[in-house]
Amino acid sequence: MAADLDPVIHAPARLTLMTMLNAVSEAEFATLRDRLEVSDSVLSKHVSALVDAGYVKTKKGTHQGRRTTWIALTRRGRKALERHVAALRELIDGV
Amino acid sequence: MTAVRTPPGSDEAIAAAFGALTFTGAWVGFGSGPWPAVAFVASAVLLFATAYHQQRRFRDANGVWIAGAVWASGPHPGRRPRRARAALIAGWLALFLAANALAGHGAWWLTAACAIAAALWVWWTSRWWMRLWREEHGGG
Repeated sequence: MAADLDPVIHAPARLTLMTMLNAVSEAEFATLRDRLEVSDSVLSKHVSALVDAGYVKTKKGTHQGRRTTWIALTRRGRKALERHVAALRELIDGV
Repeated sequence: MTAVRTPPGSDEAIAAAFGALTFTGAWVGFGSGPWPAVAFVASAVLLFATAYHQQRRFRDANGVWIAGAVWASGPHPGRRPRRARAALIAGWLALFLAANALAGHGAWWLTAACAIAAALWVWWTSRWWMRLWREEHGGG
């Protein structure tokens, strides 16, 4: 059961980030930073780790007239999140 | 995501475009000459353009983008937004078919009433969907 928990997603900030991204097609960097209440560098590190795992992708774009980064879950990331959440639910059911 | 908000007038603009599509859809089946087809194509283009424009406004207001694919596939932990979305589509389709049937009998005032009802239905169900979406994602 524990083997189904994904260590890349399991950190609270990453799990929150993945959950936020699961509800939308993509989200802007500053929006995620503000809602996670973390610094730019902390969010960058989490995003980089998730990009390396192939769970999220980034692209440059604009928001309200300024250049920014848009972040989105990949198909692999959605599947990984689904598996992780299912494993968590199974674990919690045993409590 | 928290505290997403729909830009003012967004739901109304999309609902009006759906209403126009409903009426011209009935007109194209039972009207004569090229104008019904022209009006139908124009209202379909208007609907897509309006929906896209309002999505852009939503993106600018909230810093998130909810594309049609995500809206359609519905990656929600709960199932209530899916129900709202299915209700929106099924209700609009029923009113579209009713408008067509009424136009077939030459009841144009009732066809127009159906188109208005379709617009109101889309407006109401889209707000319902957004409210559920906010609830599921913890937002204001």
